[in-house]
Amino acid sequence: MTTTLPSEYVLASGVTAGDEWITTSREHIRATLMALKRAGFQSYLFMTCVDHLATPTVEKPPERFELVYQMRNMSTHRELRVRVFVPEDDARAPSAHDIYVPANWDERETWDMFGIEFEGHPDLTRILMPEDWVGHPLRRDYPVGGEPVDFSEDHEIWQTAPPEV
Amino acid sequence: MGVEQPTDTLGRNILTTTLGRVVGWGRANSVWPAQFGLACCAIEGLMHAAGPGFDIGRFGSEAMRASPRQSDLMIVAGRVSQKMAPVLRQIYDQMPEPKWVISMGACASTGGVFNNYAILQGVDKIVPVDVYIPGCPPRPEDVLNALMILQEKIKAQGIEPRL
Repeated sequence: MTTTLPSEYVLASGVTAGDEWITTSREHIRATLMALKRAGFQSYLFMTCVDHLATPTVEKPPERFELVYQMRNMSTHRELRVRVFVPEDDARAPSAHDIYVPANWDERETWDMFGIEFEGHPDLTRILMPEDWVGHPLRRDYPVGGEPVDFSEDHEIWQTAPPEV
Repeated sequence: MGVEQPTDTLGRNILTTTLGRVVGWGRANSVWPAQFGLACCAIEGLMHAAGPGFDIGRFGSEAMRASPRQSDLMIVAGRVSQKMAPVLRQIYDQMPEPKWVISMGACASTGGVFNNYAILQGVDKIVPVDVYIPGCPPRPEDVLNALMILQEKIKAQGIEPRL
């Protein structure tokens, strides 16, 4: 599959748990998605983000945030995952709403939950949380919140403080 | 002889009571709940209570209204998110007096297992609750039991204004 893409788009590729994936760079994400759409991946399944702040892996991910685009080729029944790493201090990515229309709301959700800013998005506003909410709740250093629970173990740590990195 | 005959006739047709008891009896047996299913409790407990197996209609509450303006009772069935909380309060305000609230299940009563930033930790923070139903989810019998407890409360209230 990666042979249909220019080599400078693909930083890495592989198969994990039966799922094909490629890693591309932030600069080439729009070109990669357009090339994949031309190559038959017409169906956009979802897009979301992973926060690697506390990922317990031996191999440390190159950046904190990872955008994940899942595509499907409806004629060959193949799926492909496109991964893009985004640094914490420059959490921005180009919008893909004009390539795949459903990306519009997914990017709003990713902005709402992870604080990734999508450049070129027509209406980048909160979609799940109330409009006046402060912070991005699915970041791993966002406290869980809620109310203190008596006799529970270490609730003051996980409810009010970020996890140990 | 002139007195005995009317006494015999009226004795079977007249009963004396208070206005509060009659009004409370009427209100208690026609409690119309608003449809306010928020999560799994609405399916697991509330729909079964309204179905033919348990039949909440035996207690006069089968008329689930889609409009808060026709409802007497709000059964909060499920977790209330922070974003849903103002909506829930507005629906409660749109219900005409007298009105009652049943908090159904662990999530509506306390937040349940969802002890986090997104979920209201108990619906009694925004509306006054008359009866709490424990359980995750409660059995349909629990819903019927809560309704019967509420009926006793309504009967005791009579025509007195709610405090």
